[in-house]
Amino acid sequence: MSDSLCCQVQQLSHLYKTHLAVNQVTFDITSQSIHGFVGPNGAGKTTTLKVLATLVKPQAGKVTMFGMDIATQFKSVRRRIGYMQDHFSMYRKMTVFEYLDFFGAAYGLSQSERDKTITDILALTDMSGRRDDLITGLSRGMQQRVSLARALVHDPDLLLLDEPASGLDPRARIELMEILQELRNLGKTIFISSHILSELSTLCDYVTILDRGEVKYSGTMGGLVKDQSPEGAYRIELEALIPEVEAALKALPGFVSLEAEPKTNVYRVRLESTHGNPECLLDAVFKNGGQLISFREDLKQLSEAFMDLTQPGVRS
Amino acid sequence: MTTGITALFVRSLREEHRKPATYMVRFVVITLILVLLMSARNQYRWGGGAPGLAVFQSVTMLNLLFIGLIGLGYFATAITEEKEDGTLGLLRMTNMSPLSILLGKSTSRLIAFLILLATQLPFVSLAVALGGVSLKQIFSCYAILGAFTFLLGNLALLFSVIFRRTSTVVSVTVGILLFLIFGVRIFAAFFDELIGTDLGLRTLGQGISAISPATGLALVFDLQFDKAVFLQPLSNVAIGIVLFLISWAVFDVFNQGEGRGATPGASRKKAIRSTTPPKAFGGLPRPSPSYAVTWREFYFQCGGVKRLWMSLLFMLIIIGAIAGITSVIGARFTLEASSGLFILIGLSAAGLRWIFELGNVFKYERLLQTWSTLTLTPKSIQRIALEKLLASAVATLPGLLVAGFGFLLIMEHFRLEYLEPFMEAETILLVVYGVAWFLFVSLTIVYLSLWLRWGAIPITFVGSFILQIFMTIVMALLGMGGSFEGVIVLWSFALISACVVLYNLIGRRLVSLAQLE
Repeated sequence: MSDSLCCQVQQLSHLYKTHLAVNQVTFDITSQSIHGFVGPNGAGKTTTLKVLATLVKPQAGKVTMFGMDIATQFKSVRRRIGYMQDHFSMYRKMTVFEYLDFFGAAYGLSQSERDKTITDILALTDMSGRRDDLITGLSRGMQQRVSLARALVHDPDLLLLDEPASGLDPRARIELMEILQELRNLGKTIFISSHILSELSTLCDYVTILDRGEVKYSGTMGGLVKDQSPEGAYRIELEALIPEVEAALKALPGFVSLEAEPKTNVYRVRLESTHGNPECLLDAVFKNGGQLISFREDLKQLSEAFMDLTQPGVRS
Repeated sequence: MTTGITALFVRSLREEHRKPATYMVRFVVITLILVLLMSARNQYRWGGGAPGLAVFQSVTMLNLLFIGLIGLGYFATAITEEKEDGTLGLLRMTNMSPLSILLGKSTSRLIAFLILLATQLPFVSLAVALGGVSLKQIFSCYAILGAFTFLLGNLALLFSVIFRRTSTVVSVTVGILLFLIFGVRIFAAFFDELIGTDLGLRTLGQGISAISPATGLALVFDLQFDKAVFLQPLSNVAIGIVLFLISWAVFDVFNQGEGRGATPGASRKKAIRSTTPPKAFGGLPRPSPSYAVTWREFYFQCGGVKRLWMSLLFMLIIIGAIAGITSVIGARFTLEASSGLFILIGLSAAGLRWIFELGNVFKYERLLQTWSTLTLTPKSIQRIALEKLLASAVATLPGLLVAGFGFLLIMEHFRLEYLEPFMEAETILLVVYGVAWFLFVSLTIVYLSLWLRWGAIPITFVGSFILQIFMTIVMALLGMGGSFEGVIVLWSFALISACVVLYNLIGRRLVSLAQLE
């Protein structure tokens, strides 16, 4: 994973009549990474994505992509990005190959380039066997793959995906995520907006959380869960819960709280940050006959961090 | 049942109430009536006879045009709009009966259209003051128009129940009407000559003529008119009721599969058929990067080479049929007549095809929401639009070919002197004016198709007709009626200016469509 930036969004704002959809949004997209873009409905994700896709001109602020200003150099930017919308927008009377061939030609690829690229893309998306099928006869998951293939047909460096997994069954979702990981391994940068937080947390290197048009967090995925987790919180999983261990943990200096989960044989212990030495916890376990299965910092899940960072209710 | 009808009725009325088009149509109709009244007033001042009757006749013809063009499209959507949106199944799931759906959907449309006719009454009554027309004539005329609207509405409703697409409903309804008005008489003459009997078609034709609104209106327009007209309104209403009952009877037969919740507008039959690509598209040439959009548009929107051959064949069949009928009835078919027939049919077909393709050039991109994806390619919006128009132009080739053949037929009789009138300043001005009209109409169709789901073509033609009348009156009021060249130059200038405005509006709309998707 390279640390060079392929996109910088600075103070981006967008107003729809009187409704401020995006308010001074700032974040960066690192090259060859998967960057999650999450937020509740109406947070401004699609508007931001449309700006990045050069469909909507930035009203305020600046977006630089591959060193180019997208407001003025949008034609050059378009050659290097692939955009997949949150709805299926396809010519359904065409076959898969005709559809990809058409977009390849529209992007200016020669016939031989198209033949090679389309063959590769169909193999990558596991659609080689469906190349002569009409799009209208394909399932939703298959159409999603064709849509992704279309976004890849001109070999873009950056993929902008707006809710690519919405409406897909679990298998199709997992397969899509595998394709995205494969694309990252091939050196593509992927900016993905999604509501499926569990999948994003394992897939993404970076995440930006947007709420009511404002960025609430932007950075690494690890940084988010760390930032949002209380300091000095630990998770101890034992073979069985032992009252002596529990008592020893409670007696530790700087003890704040302890939660026992009998079903999973887990203690969640929180110490004051100044006393946050994990070794004393392990001592308390071993000295009282506890058989340790796992021990780690008790970090929040993405979904918990998301809930903490965003406000409840629908934006008016 | 009444709850369902009321719910649908109220929903339809609410939708009508929120549409700016509802008010715009009313505004245009009333404005036009007022313009006609002003024109009649001037005519009266200059000594014209019976100006009230002239106004009344113009307004009636205008109404017939509205009923035929706008009204037809309006009624045709009654059930198809639910099918196209995939919501008919949802209505059925509420246990709403077919009768409730039919009444709820059609009554609101009928009432909205009858309101349009009713709002005209006070204005048209002013024609009485201008003389030449009585209130009895006005009420009789509106009774005929109202009954005809009812008949036409129910005919379109029936096809709206049977077919899935509004465009199919409009085409079939227009086809049936044309057949009833013209086809029956032509076939009667044909069979009479060919097999010695008209198979009762002549009687049918006479019957249709007797109950047609045109016959009723001709009676009403008569200066000696003093008796009530019953036949046309009553027969039209009776036929309308029969058509409504048929729509009710066949509703379940044609709409059983609705509401599967799959892709809106996709029928099961289509989905099964479409899992394998149609053979017609096999072996297509590959798109070239320079004209990729033209390639897609031509093969997948205009029907490709196959449809070109079919149109050519269709035109030749029509020409052959006319030639056959002519020879059967013993008339002489001269070379000039053949040439004229080829030119007429060829140019008409090319013109119709051009108009039809213009109406669809961006419509499907909008409906399928594919426009934004297309604009993300390195091609500019202007380039994409031009490539699309190029495909539409290619689609007119069969018509142009037939017309060209017509010219070739009389080529040996052609003399250069024939071109002399075209070199005169007056003719050149007329050609410029004609080209300006052509561009104006083309751009208006494209612009309207970017906003409307249907009706861009009929609205453009009604609008152009209204504009033509309006411009004539304005020129007359400005006292420019005497200078033909002056009028033509001014009109051409106005039309070219309008074209520039429309071109920019189309560009803006295309940009905003890409953003909105």
